[in-house]
Amino acid sequence: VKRLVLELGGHAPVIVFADADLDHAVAETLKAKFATSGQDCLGANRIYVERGIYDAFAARFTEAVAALSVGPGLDDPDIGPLMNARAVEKQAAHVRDAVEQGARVLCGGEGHAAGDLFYAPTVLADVPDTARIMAEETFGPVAPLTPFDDEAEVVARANASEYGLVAYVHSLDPRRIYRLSRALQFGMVAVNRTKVTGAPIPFGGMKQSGLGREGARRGMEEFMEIKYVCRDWR
Amino acid sequence: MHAAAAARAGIEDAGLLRDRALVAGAWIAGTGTLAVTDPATGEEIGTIAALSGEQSGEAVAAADRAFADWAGRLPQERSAILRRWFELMTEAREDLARIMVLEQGKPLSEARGEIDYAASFVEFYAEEAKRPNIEGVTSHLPDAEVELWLEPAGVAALVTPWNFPSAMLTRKAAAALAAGCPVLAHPRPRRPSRRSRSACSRSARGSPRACSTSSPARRPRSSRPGPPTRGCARSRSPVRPRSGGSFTGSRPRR
Repeated sequence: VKRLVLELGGHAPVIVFADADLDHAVAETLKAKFATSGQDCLGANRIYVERGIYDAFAARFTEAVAALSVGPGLDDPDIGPLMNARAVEKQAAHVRDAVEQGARVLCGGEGHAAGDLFYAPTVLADVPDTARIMAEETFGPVAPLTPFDDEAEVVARANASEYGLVAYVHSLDPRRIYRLSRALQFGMVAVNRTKVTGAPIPFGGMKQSGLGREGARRGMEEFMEIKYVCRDWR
Repeated sequence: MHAAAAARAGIEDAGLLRDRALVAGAWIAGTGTLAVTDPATGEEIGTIAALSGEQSGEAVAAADRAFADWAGRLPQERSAILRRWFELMTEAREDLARIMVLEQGKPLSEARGEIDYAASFVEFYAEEAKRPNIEGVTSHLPDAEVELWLEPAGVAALVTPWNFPSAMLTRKAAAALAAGCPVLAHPRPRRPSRRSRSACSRSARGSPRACSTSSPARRPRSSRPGPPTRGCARSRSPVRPRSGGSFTGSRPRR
């Protein structure tokens, strides 16, 4: 019998409510999606935006994505190459599948002239929940947007995933933030921000995202056994 | 790593570049090599050692032998060694970041950020190593004293992914070494990181044979010799200390 810690990936939702600070939400969602060129288990893989601000969010987000620089890592661009040819094919397949199901390409949607392993930063709008990109890890620079109408609906859609690593919420309503923090079935919940990791916090997920936690004191205790000693002095 | 590639990337300390695997405190050649390519250009920038099943078995055995010594050291001693590892990583930050850019492809700023992030785990666990305190429990039995102790579990087998080659290694290895467990590190062969390996070797200077790394010739299959992590996970001896595993990566799709 072995001790095991498993971190098996994620499929992070970003939920942006109409009461959020829109510019901040756009900037943070850009980070949540495109850090590590999208090749991050914490990477945003589904972006739910409340219908009242959906068009405004899509326009500002697309403008920011289209401005991302792409190139070799030593030139220090925003976006570097993907891991291998299969990763590039996966971007193309997720985009093709979403478009076949009615999604619109707001920018990108194709390879990039920088080289064989580069894919253009891409925004898709109106992506249906049945699209592959809404369920599978994309692990690349493709961001799918979808509108939502109320809180219960978006919580149910966000939780309808086999993964449960991290969820991002944007809202300025403290009661809503509390309700979402309780209701989301994820090992980590980030509110109005993207970067949450670090040595002092326990990193890990629920459901198929894994077992155990890394970082923090708990991360060391995963490698330790508890021994219970009970003694009398006689 | 080939000298030309390292020079092009502005890597100054050639001593950080390794093409061998660290087993039982020694850098050994494998029975084959794996090519490492720069994902930005497709160019081969170097090779790393691919270990045979027998060599992997040696790494497992060495980690087993190291357990009693490493687990038995004072926490302060383990802490000091981890602290030194943190300082060496911090000093080599720029070179380590540039090696990562060539091997993994990520933008230079992100690579620097990852080295800082990776080093922060080593620093944190250097401190935490001193505090696996005994917990006293208010007794429920007459005249009894009740305590909970924390003890190192055994050899730790670590499988780390290609997207954060430095931080995922240190997050596991520093925690395990702080706890008193020797480690076997197996970076994913697609983009193995010699940086991980060299960083590990530095900690091993102070903790002989407590740290081994390797990369397999191919993805391990059930009937085949594989990386030492697999040997460790597979070991069935009921009398040995329990070993443990920590894995980060994707599950195969159904």
